[in-house]
Amino acid sequence: MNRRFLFDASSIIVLAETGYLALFCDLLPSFTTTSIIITEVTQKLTPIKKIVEELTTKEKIFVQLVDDSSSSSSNSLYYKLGLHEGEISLLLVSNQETDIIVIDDLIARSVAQAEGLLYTGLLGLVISLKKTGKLSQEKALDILQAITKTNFRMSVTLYNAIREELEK
Amino acid sequence: MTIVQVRVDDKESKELDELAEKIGISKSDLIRKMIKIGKKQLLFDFYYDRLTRKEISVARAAAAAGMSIVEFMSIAKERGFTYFRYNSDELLRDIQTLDGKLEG
Repeated sequence: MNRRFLFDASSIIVLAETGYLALFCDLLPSFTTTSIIITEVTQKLTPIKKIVEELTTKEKIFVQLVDDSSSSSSNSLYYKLGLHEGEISLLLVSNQETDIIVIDDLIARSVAQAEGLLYTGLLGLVISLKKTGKLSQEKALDILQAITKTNFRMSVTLYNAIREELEK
Repeated sequence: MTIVQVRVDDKESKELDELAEKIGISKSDLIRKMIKIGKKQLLFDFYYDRLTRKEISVARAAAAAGMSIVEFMSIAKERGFTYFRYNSDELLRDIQTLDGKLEG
């Protein structure tokens, strides 16, 4: 089974806002998300909607269909823990052996950890792509800069730690 | 429509009359508009607070506040919200997780 990288809504939005979403689709073996997350990301008429729809049509983003009812139940333990349907759907479809969830939300990360699922953050992914040579140092630094210009902030300490890793 | 009665003091009532006149709408329409704007603000405040207390995720907070993630994060950023809330140890853990898994 091929390794899939399962992206949550925020990671897709950050990459779309930076203009690097298509690049990440090309760099990863399988850029995947769920139908619930696609609905979340494309619910409003924005430039992001257009980008994401184009990439799903071209099958650059693979969409796993998920039954809404499986993740929207208000009785779901994940829901009680504070997660949204999209994040729940990612946890439900993730294969413990092969998939890696790309998620930065603290609650979702702790649930993934408790479930024994593989997960990483978007920033760690940028560093790892640079380490494996899939991204040049210059490009990786450009991506970092572009992320800092989105609405998704990081602390100065974290920014410096990332820069340090990228400049190695 | 349901009729909701609210007591306001005379000064406030007069201010509402003046504002309604300035905007060119009725006092009722003005109050309806204010409720709509105020409701959105209060919903945001309520779920933003839960988010910062780490009770719910960003996606959940946005949906509960009736906003898209983009819209929610735009306001959250103005409030100084840090999305990537983990530390450099977590970052290193993420890098280790990916070790040897990006080939192919």
